[in-house]
Formats: sequence, structure tokens, C-alpha cells
Amino acid sequence: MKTLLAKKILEIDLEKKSYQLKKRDDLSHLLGGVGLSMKLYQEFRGKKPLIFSVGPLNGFFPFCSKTSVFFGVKNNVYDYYIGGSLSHRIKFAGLDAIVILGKSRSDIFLDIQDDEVTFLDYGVDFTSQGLPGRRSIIEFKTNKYLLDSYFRFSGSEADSFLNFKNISGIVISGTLNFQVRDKKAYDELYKEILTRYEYLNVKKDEFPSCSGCPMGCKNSNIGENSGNFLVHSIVGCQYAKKLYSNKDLLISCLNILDYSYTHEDIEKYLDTLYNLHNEFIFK
Amino acid sequence: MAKKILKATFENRCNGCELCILEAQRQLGKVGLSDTPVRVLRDASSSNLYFHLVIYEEALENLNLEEIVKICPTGVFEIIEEENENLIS
Repeated sequence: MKTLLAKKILEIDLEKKSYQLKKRDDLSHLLGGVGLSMKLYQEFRGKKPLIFSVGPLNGFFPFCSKTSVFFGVKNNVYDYYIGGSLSHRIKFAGLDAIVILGKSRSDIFLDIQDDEVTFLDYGVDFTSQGLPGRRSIIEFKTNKYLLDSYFRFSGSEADSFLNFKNISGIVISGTLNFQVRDKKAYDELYKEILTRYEYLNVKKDEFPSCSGCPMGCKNSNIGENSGNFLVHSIVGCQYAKKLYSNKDLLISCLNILDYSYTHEDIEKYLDTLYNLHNEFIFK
Repeated sequence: MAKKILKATFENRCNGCELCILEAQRQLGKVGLSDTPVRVLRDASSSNLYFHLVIYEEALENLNLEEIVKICPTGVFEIIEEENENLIS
């Protein structure tokens, strides 16, 4: 491995109402998503972390439209994946993961814009926070948390965990633009992937879609849990598993974004992940 | 001389995938959601999720509009030609 980019982790402490951005070179070998989340969970386990993380391709390539949501309750850990616009907002906020630690004393809204966090008391007009067109809103509605009033977590445990932390809502806005060195090659690869409908495991439909996915499938709002480690590390959609479990394609995508992962790196990474995975009891 | 304009004629078909934004941004050499020629706003005020499109015509001037039309999976856009009143034919 030569040049891997440091991971940017936004740590939010609900008890102290404080936050800090950390650039972590030591985590750069972890692609992202479930791999990054497991490592962060291990580190912060005592503070009951709720971890949102994305992978290197979110925002940059089609069908990489999920966000990993990782947390633990008692001896069990949960890895959920939510769709919608969230992964693009986190990526364009310049973040790889958001780690929410501890529990707020009272109901709280988090307004996250890039690497800054505002702690809002319950009762503010939450929907007026964030930047329209560049924000995702997670909000408690009736009996569950919804993202943009449509997309939901794949299990009620995530709702319970957010509730336990006294988080009434989170708005995340991403304002950063990025550049890719070889624009022509990037555009060609992007469009080539976009045409590979035959590799997808889902039919096109007319429902709201996740960002970066044209399909509008009927399951876009349901979310996912567990599944293919590699796909959930780049945090792609499970319906695009055939596409992104192809390591040649994956490495082409990574290399075009200046990540220098090789086949060997990916194999080593997967070994690391399986070892980490054995330390937890997944639900 | 006719000027080509991108119109979100069938906005009600938008599924919020944002591929149009990303296409326009790629043409401008960027990846992200800031300073975009096209913006997709989410309206979740009713029980369903709807999308509204805002198009900044001036920012689209030098872009390949056909590519933006082509990338939309639901056929939201069309290109219309409008006479430029400032030019004497």
C-alpha cells in the first residue's frame, strides 16, 4: 500500500455537548463502512457509540448509496444500512464516519454541517435547519425514525437506540466539492457502471430512489442488515453486490479516486474484517 | 439564434436520485452538491416524499444538456429552444 487517505471521523459527545474532528491515518487501511465501524466500535465500546459511516465510493460512483449504521446493545452488535440521501451528505461533508457517544440528558437535535455540530434543544423548528438540497434529515415521526420522511432503518433496534440517546433528530448537510484527477477516465467509468443494469438484483420502479441510484426500487426505503463484507465496506447497495464484489472493478474505482489499494490489500483487509467480526456477536 | 434551455417539464416523475446534479457537476470537473446548476429539493411535508427541481440557467450555459437529459432515469427533463431576443437576425 502506498498512498491511502486518512479517515476523517467526527466524534460527538452528547453528555458534554462537544465534538471534534479527527484525521486518522491509522484507520486508512480500512476501506470504510462496516470495517471502519467495527474498529471504531471496538475503540469506543464503553461510551455506547452510534456510528454512521460511508465508504470510499459513496457519492462518487453509482449504486453506492447506503450508509452503515453500527451500534451495540448488551452483548450484541447491529449493522444496519440505510438508503436515501444520507451517504452523499456525509461524504460531501468530508467525513468518513460520525461517532455519537454517550446519552443526552434531555431531548436533543443535532445539526451537522460539514465538520461542525450545533446542539439544538427540543422544540426548535427542526425542518428549517440544514441546507436545502444538500441536507438529509433523520427525524422521529410517530413511532420510528425516518430519513427524509421516507427511508427507514432495517430494524427497530436502531430506533430504540436513537431514542435511548434522547436524539429527536439529526440534520446533516454537506457543502464540499471534490475533484478527481483524471476527469475523462472517471466519467467513462461512472457511465459504464451506470449502464450495467443486468448486474443488479432489483427491478426498476417508480418509488423515491437513493442518491446515486437510478432504480427507484420498491425496497429503497427498507434498508438492509448484514450481508457481503466487501460491498458493505464501500457501502454499496446489496442489489449491486454482483457489481462491486468484482474486485477488478472495485480496484479500478478506488484507483481512479487515488486510493492505492491492490488485490492483495483487499484480501488482507477482508482477513482483518473476518477477525474483527469474530470478536462480536452480530444480530 | 435559438438558445437551448433545460426544463424540468416532468418534475413529478423525479425520484430524487440526483444523477442530474452529479452529471452537471462532473461536466464542471467537480463532485459534490455545492454551486450546482441543478438542485433537487426534498418535500416531505405530506405523507409522501416529493422532489422539486431548481435549475440555474446561467450556470448551465456551457454544459452538454443532452447528457443531463440522457442520465435522468425517469425522463424529467427536456431541452427547449428559445429565441434570444438580444440578437438581431
